[in-house]
Amino acid sequence: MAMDDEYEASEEYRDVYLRYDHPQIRNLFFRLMNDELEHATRFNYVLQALPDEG
Amino acid sequence: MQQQPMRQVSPDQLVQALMPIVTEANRVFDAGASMQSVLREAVLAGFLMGRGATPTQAMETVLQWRMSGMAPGLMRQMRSDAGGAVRTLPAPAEAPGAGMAPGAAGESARTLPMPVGGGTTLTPRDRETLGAQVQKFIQDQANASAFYQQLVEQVPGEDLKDYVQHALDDEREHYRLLTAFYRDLTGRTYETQPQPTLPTCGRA
Repeated sequence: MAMDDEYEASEEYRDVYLRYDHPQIRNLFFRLMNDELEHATRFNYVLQALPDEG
Repeated sequence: MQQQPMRQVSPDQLVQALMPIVTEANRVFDAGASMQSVLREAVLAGFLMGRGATPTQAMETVLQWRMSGMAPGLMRQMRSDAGGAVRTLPAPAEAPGAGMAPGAAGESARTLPMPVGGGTTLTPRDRETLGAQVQKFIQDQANASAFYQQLVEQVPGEDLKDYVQHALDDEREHYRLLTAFYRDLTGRTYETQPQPTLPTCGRA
């Protein structure tokens, strides 16, 4: 499921962020992590708004 | 020094004007950066001041150059005895037009938690490990883009479409950022296509 994928992605990015003390790496992966979390939130909203398809 | 400060400045005034940079350099050093890193940034900031920048402008320019990757030589190294991690120069609040005023640098929290491992310098092994990981991330982003592309066509209504489109734009940008990062990291290029097995947009 896409939402799980987004959460998982954010965790993977977080792990890279925490592992390296390198500004470019941290900048990139901090952004990726945040974006994926945002996607999960948005996706949740979209799911709630969709009509039940059964 | 009223109208043309740079022309009539005394040596001592010059030293005073440089103090914000010295203060900041000291702070960065105390936080664990190597002497070389500190000197590089401080001298560069001083040079920029000589070209007419205020101390704040000079430090912000150095910060920008460092963080944007425009000047890889500015990458900070930690001293081996350092306990804390240093990453950012401050952006002290600037009094407009206070070019030569030795304003104190803001002392906000600027240090981040120490990473689990690794230093500011990447070893060949780091590059290899991270490179392999980044390949996977690139593939993930390609898949995600394909998924959202499919979804954006399926969801009804402008609002929902906007929501999905936002994610789609992000994922495409991520793909671009990650492939660029991979190139920096390994010197090789890696491009990929979405895998055919896309996740479905159902609720199951």
